[in-house]
Amino acid sequence: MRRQPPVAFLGEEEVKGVHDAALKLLAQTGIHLPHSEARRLLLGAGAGEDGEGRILLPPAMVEDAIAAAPSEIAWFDQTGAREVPLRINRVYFGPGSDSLYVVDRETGAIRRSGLKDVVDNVRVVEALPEFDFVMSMGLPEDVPAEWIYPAVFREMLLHSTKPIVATSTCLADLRIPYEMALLVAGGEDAFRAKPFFITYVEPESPFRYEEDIVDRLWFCGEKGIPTMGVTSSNLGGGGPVTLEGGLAQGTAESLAALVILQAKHPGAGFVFGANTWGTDMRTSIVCYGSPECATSTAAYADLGRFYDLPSWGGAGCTDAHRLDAQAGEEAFQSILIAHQSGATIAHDVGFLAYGSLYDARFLILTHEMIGRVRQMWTRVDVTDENLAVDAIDDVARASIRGEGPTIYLKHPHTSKHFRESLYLPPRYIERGALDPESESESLSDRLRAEVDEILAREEVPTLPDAVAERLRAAFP
Amino acid sequence: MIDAIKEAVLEGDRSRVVDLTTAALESGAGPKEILDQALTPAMDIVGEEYERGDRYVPEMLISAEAMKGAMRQLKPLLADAGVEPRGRVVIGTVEGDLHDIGKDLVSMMLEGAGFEVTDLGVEVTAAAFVEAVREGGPDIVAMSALLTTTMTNMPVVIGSLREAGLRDRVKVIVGGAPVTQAFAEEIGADGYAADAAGAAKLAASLT
Repeated sequence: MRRQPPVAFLGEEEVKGVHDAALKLLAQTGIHLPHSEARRLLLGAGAGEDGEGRILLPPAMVEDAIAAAPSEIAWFDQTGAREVPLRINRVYFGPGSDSLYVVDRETGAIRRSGLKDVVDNVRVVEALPEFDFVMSMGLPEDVPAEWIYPAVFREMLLHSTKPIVATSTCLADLRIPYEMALLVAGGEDAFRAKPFFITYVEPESPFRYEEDIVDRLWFCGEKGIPTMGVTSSNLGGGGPVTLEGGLAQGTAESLAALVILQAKHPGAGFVFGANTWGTDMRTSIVCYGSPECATSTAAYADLGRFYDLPSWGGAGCTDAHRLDAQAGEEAFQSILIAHQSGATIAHDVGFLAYGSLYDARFLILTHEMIGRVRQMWTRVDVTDENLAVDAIDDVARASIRGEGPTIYLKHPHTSKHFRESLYLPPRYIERGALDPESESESLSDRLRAEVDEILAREEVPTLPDAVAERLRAAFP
Repeated sequence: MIDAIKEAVLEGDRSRVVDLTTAALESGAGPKEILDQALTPAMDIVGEEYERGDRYVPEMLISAEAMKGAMRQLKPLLADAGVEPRGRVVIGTVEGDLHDIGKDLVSMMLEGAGFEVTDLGVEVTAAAFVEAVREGGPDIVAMSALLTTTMTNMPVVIGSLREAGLRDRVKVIVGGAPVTQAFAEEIGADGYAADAAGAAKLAASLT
């Protein structure tokens, strides 16, 4: 759908202010980097080292890494048929990953998430066209801890065709999914030509790049897996409390990951951004529903445009514990802002309770929000056909004559254009006449009916039988 | 040919419906055959699709317009052949209310369903409804109101029909945004429908 141009949140001066502060941080504070090969490579390429062993990254080195990073990264769905190129001003929405809990579909109770819940949620996302990619939406308790990430990855292959954003806690979490992806893609070269999964590592804030972080970044660089270094410079938590400071730290941390990646694999695909969300000053939790989640997503989109790098941000998530008005308010604010700002990857859609809970009904509702926002922000085209001067003339005259298209609803211009020019909400969105005597079915019940309907459908296999069998056999 | 007419009605292509109907009549098809096998089934599908949420009002209206194009040709032929309409309906928006969109929608859907509709327009007084019933002898009186302040004129019309001794001769159906099933029952109407497709169904069930 063609969209209106993005709306900038940060002005030019502000972008430059954040960028300059980030460069200063990288040159003066530097990074904690114990990985010996990474130290050697960076020191050999012009980095400095201070008395505490911190690696200092001079501005020129950072600028070179930005310039070497591709401004467009190929990303495909799992069939290789549909490309979702990662670049500035393209917006893709998808869910989040490692939530501990799930709302039981039958009982409505909150309980630990299992692998079957992951499958169900992946199937729901697969059925919803406004979701552009899939993530695991669960940390299943019925899977051995060391097998969680490969297990959920396999379910995303078996039950979805959408592009994947994978998460990991160690190199094995990444290596095994990569081997699975090769089975689906048909080999290393085929995957490299059309990578369908991307991933991120999460260096600890402020500026800690442990050995394992470097190993994973480089693994991605070597195998052609687009990647990113997403830190948690959350305001007053992992980062300073001011948005400006959080953005400066998050920008510097993301750029440091880029420098580390480029030092070993020049030209590797990298997505820029960090989580710079509000921290709750009563409980110290990271607030997924904070307005700062929305504004920082927009700010990283602005900075991404400045660097000509695709950006990463959060959207469609909430701190509310259940599907209520707060959940709706918080999820909508960040979906709207992410879309308007042109953030490339807007993830965590549908997360409840600050990223710890999934409820399939909320996936349905947040998906509807994405559709609504996309329609709201459709490109305005002042063509003769859209300006409708002729149709207006027809109705103005006919309504007096009492013959012909006396109302717009009857005019062919309406039937020709309404499907693309008006938002046509799905049936669970309430519209129409009020009947004070009869209470309509609650939204959560209507959403539950949608979930049930999707999961009751016979599943179309997403992979050829032989591939699915090999996947099951090779990774029991 | 009959199937092509039905398809063209579903697509809302009025000129094609008219051309195909002319061709069908020339090649010997009977007007009742065209009505029963093409037009009415097409409008039934339109109503079903609308109820399912797959079709919207503008699409329903262009199909109804296309159907009316064919009806204009068929009407005199049906009359000559002595074919009676499914029923006769007198329709209007009640006194004090200028809104006609809902009423027009219902008219078109009723015509689509094979009813002969006499549209009294908007701001129709109780006396005008009574007069139309006395003269036209309809099976159904259909009233529309968009405002809470004008829906109160619906029981006034029913009262006037009763006073004129005509109430038992017709079924009264009501609709419009503020009107509900409970209101319809309260004022002694015979039926209520929430939308135009429902109104056509309701009328069919009452005749």
